[in-house]
Amino acid sequence: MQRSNQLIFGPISAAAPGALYEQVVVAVKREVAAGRLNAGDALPSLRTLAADLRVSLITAKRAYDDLERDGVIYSRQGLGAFVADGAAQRVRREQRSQAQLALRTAAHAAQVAGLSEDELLAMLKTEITGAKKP
Amino acid sequence: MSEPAIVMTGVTARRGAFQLGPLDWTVPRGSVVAFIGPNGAGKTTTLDLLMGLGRPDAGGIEMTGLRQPVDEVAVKAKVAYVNPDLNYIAWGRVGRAIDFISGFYPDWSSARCERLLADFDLDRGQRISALSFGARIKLSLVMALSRDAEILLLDEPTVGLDVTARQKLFSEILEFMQREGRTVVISSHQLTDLERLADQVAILDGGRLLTMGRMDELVDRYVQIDARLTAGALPAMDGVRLMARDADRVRLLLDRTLADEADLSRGGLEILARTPLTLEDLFVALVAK
Amino acid sequence: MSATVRRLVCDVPLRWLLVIALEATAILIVDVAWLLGLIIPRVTLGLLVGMGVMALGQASLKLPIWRLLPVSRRQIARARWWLSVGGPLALLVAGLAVALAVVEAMGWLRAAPVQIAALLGGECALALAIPVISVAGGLSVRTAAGITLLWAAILAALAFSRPGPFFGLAAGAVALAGAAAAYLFPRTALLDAPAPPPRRQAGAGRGQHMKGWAALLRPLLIYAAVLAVSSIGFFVVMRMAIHQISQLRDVSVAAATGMGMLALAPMIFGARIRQSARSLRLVPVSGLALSSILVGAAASVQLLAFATFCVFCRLSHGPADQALALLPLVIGAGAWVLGLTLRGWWQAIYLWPVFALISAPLVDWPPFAAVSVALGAASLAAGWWWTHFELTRGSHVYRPWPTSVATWRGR
Repeated sequence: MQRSNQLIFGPISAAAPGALYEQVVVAVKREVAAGRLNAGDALPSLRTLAADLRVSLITAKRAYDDLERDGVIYSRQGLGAFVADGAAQRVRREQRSQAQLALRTAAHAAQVAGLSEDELLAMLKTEITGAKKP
Repeated sequence: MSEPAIVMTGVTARRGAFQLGPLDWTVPRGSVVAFIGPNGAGKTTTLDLLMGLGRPDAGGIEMTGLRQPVDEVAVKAKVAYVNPDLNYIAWGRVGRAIDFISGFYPDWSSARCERLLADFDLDRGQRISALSFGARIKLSLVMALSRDAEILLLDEPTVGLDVTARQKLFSEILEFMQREGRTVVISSHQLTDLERLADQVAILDGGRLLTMGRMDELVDRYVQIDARLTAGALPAMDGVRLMARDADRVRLLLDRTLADEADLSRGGLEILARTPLTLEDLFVALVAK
Repeated sequence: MSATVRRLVCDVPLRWLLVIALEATAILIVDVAWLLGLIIPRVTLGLLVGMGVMALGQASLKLPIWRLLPVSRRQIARARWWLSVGGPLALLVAGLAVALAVVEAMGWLRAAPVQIAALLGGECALALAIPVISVAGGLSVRTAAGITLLWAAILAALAFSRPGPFFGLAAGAVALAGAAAAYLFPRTALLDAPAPPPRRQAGAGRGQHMKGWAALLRPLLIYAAVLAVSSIGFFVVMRMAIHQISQLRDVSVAAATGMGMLALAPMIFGARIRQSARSLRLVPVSGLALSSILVGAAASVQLLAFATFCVFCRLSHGPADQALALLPLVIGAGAWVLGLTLRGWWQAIYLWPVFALISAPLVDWPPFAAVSVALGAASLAAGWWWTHFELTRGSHVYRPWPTSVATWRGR
């Protein structure tokens, strides 16, 4: 159980960007979006998660609070936390809006740089091909 | 003077059941070396051999161009050694111990010694038997830093030091390094500190050197990959080490000089996340059996 | 002496000058008394052997630091020579010269030159035997002491008759030749050896399959054996080296030397306990039980060593019954020594000559046996109470023993 919690809810590293609780949130959203955590699946208890990931209880609680705020999970007193209905769509929608936000920034940056629409589209095509490669 | 500070060629030593070596190690001048390894790996034995405490069974050691054990007196005049086992208790008080030791080194600086004593909260009149464990180490550090040595060999200098003292030690080491051609070899278990301070790293395990080289190259060389198996079996690849596995989820340590992520995808792995490693995580992964 | 060696040797704190003065006084007393034909207080003879050993002991504390200094191994060996052989030798010669001058000025000189030379030879043999072997062979003090005592025991078994002046002369010549050899060709094996791996604290290591008290008390058996052999060997060496001793009654010598050492036996035990006192106090055993077990263990060690000593006395036709009367005093003194050691007053070693001085002349006093039992019981009770106090309320129990500090690797 310990191993698999580390693998599913990880990686958590001091060297990785983002605070520890943010890394947990990213990991859970990744699993939900990929369909490996489905609606109604139980998440480990706070203590178990903290012990398995070797983080403090506060970190685990903060991660779960953020996930609940984003509507990815819900918690029931005495029963624990579960993946919410429609969480996958919500996460994917969030990922789509993040992509759109990135594109908005790119468009503004292209305008500042004085790129034409064709140049911008050519750049985008290159980036898409580049992103396909791991 | 571009000769290396330390050169070990084919050094072997046997201590009871433990076999150290053969070690081939060159430490360039002007670097701070993190000399790390699990307990019982032979770090203290190696540092002892460098200082001339005990002889290797085979192989040669050169310190700043002087050969051990032929020139051992000249070496000891240029190399300072700190170890938590050093005990100055036979000299009663701090002041007496300092007076005795300082007489052997013409390059001793009393001014620096006084400043260091003040920085480390030590007093000349204190009885050494009444010093706490951390204070004893601080005394050894004062002895080593008050001289104008070319090489500092620090064996676990941070054991027992409180946070303030540790930070003072590191600033003293950096000040030491400001002078030309100085080298510091630190052996410690506080890898978070060493990561910031050291520019070279050598990992010793079971008497052999696992890896040595520049710190930034080492940390960039390895990356932790979280992946999912699509093909069922994990392909065996050079430069890929399995750290953890559960059903179809794996965590791998990727050596970027030997393999890259394209190889992993070709081997039937869906990459989920990539994480850089701290020196601590890297150390644990590399010495894991 | 080169400047470096001088710097190593002359690094003597003030309190050691007092010790040297004490030794010089002891030598003077021995020489003057002997030249006047009086009985020598046996206690001073122990100080002769102790001189070189103490000097080497102090040097061995400093040795790990000396090895780091820009000093060659030969210079370190020379420094050890001067501290333990050269210094005592100079002291002995000077002491005898002064004693001779004084006694001759008084006109009371009664000894022939040959006998004086034999006295000097005997004193040199006593004082220099262990240090010479340690410096010449590059051995640690403990190994050298063991070797010396072993050889002394063998020689005694071979030549157990009353030795004449020849013996003193021969022993002295050998000692001086050894001293010269140690100066010219010191072996530095001791300094090449790597630092030994740290010993565990009391009870761990070998006694892995023993639980509870057995693991802690098992090494005591070895101590008891070592003590028995040491006290015998000490007696034998003294008997051989200074031939006047053989004219004194055997029992007094046996009493003063052998018993004196046994009274100190709990000191070694107490030193170990002191290092591990914190761990012992964590064990769910009451302070009462703990102090009773420790005092009982110390007394058992003394009994065991004493039994061996008695057997030896019987075998060598010495009367052991009078020495037996001393046993209650020894056990009582042992309990006191335990308390002293726990408190950290290693100067308890100076109790030994006091004990020997008081007890030796009293041995033949008729009511001595009853007095000994009474005094012994009283001191046992007092010593037990003191040990209990130190273990439960003493703060000294929690500070490291000065000569072997607990380090991060767990010595």
